[in-house]
Amino acid sequence: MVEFESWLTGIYPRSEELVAATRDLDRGRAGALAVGEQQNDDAKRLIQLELDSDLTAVSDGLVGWQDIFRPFLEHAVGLSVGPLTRNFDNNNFYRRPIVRGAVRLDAPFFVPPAAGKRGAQESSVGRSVGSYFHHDAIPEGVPRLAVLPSPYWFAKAADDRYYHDTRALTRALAKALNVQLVGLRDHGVSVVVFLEPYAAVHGLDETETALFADAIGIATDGVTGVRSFVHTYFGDGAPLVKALAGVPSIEGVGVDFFETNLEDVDASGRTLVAGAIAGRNSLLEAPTRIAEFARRAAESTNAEKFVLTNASDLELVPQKIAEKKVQVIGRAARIAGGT
Amino acid sequence: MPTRRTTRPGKKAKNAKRAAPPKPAAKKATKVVAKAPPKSLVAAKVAARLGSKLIAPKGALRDVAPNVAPAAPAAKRVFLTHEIGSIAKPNWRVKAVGDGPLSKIDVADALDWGQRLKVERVDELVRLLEKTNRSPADKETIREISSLYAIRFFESAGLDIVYDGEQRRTEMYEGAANHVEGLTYHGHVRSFDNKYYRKASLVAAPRLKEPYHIEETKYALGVAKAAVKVPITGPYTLMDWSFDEYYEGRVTTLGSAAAREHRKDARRDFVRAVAKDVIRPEIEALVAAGARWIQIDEPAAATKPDEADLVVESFNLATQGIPTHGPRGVKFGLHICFSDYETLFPALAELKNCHEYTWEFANRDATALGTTREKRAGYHVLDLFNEYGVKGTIGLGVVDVHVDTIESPELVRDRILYAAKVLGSPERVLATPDCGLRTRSWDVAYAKLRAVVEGARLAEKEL
Repeated sequence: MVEFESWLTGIYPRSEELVAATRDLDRGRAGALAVGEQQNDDAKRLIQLELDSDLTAVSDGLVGWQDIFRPFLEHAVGLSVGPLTRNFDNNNFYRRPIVRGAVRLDAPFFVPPAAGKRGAQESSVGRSVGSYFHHDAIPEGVPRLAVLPSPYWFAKAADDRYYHDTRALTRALAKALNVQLVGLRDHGVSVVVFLEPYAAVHGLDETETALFADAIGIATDGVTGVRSFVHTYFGDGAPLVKALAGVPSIEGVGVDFFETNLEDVDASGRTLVAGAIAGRNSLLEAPTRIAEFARRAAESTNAEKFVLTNASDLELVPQKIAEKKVQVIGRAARIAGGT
Repeated sequence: MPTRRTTRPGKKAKNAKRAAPPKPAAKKATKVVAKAPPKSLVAAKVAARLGSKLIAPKGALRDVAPNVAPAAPAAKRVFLTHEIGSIAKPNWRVKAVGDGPLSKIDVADALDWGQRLKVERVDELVRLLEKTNRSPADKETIREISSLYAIRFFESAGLDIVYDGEQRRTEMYEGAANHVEGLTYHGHVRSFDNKYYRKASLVAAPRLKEPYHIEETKYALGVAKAAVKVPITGPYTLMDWSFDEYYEGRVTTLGSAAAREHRKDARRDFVRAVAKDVIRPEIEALVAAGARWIQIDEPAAATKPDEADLVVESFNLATQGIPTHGPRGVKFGLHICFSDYETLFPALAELKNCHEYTWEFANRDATALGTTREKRAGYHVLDLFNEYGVKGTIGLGVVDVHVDTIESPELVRDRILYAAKVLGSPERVLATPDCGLRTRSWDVAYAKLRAVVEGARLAEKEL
């Protein structure tokens, strides 16, 4: 019988308290310390929710991240924060990475740079504060999951003013991600999910697939003891499951089943990560239906292992809804696994 | 337009003070006119001005009611100017309405701008700001005077068509969603950084609870000396920025093409219902209140390329049955910004009642002077209006709302002249900022609007 795992992927929404605290920060009515404390509370609450929901690996929800690229822009040499850019077709935006020089991450980062330091945003409004990671709040023995941007998406999202060469930029970003991943591994992270919506939306040709595989290989190079996954969303993931099947550095590919036909997915001998909980609608899924889908999907795709997760970042729904969706992930996985 | 979530890190203001209205020598407020001129008087003045030597764009003023006509210019005008909707709420407005403590600087700022703009109710405002306990009625009066400030702000800058800077509104999505039956809130979602909005879920068929923006529209029409244009959030954006639990329902066939088809059908049903049962009755109420120029804001319009047909269908449904010709005819505009406009063609050719396309362009343009195609890369999309035969005037974004740098009138002139050349007629061009100026300070916003007006005048001299 297929083993059913479950986890939460992507950026998790902030609580109403954290929303208020960050607004107060921007308006000069509260300090960074208060926001940091609220981030800790948010992360602890989420971790407890995941534990209570029996998820098999636990994420800290990236509650301190301003967007998926920001910490790297604040710490890596050669990168800086650019203009607001639409996050695909959502009413949600990230700051575009600007590549101004050779990209290099000298050491893994865990907290935002202090005001006035290199990488720190000039304006206090919207500046990263608190902590990027809260994995220490996850109990010993529970698999710790980290989420990072895939090097391929990172390169595609960037405004490259230095390399003028996608391959060189992608490889340089992959090296920076590798430095970070080593740091996370040393802090107990044992599962990493690289987010990859770009390839799902735009597709990968043969050359791009080779570049993608090469970059993921660099990002995970030497990071033993960490299971690596690529999670695709906002587009058809089936071709990517096939294209990335031979990439040894990743254990499996995540698929957004709101955009992908189940019958097109072949995950023979691999781990399939099924994005079956909507990240873009407040409508709550019924655990029994999701469990039924999971069983059917595990069988029809010939997956060796099966992970149930959200299709895309839950930060696109309010936290109140996201909490219930996390519970659905756990409950559906338990039902599917017969436990 | 209201709260826009696409800001860019601002550069330092350049030349912002150059165009600021003159500061009066005396500290004392100018003579207070306690009561705004009655609407009939304003209408009479505007009607009288219509007999002047105004040269109006054919598409802009033809067959529209008197209160849509711009204030009479001293000289011939070809390129009319207007704004897009929102400007920043002054600190005194935010703090006084929110019960925050006002500083002496806040009050001095109210006095200063009031005098510079020759706002009639400055003394009344200062008295209210200096009160320690402000009643709900006091706060409403402050909101109203804030609208008056914004109207005078635009008029003082020299714009031909104005509104109240959306001083009474909170946010463009919620401001409309709050009045829709069937929408309910679960909490905030992030737009970017530490900016959030409350995103509603549709749980029942959408219906307009009661018309909104009516009082502010009546007020603007009553006090404005220039023509008035009312911006409202469009049906597609209202749909796209909401969750749908009602039409979409539970997806029973996850991982199938049928589920995606169902979702697409649900979105069509949703947006049609919003257009027909929310926005159209709202427009009807605005028209009954006297509005004759309505700008439909659709910032979400181009975000899903395969739904351009829904944008068009919902616009047509929302405006269906509203008279657009004759003395009571209403002029409709469509404002879109920071989008890939190409995705909207050729669907836009099917729009039925759109007189003006008010779009952001300057943000994507170079800043070197010139009217050649090479110099004006940000305006190449205008070609598509010709290619697909899309008629109507263009509200041409000629200043960037995300930077503090003030464009020179000469740059504005060249942008206008390039557009006129491409479109084959100066009469099809109106000059505007790219979007609402709410993320800029009043000094910067004023300087940018002056650049729009001065650029339009320079462009006219080149004809």
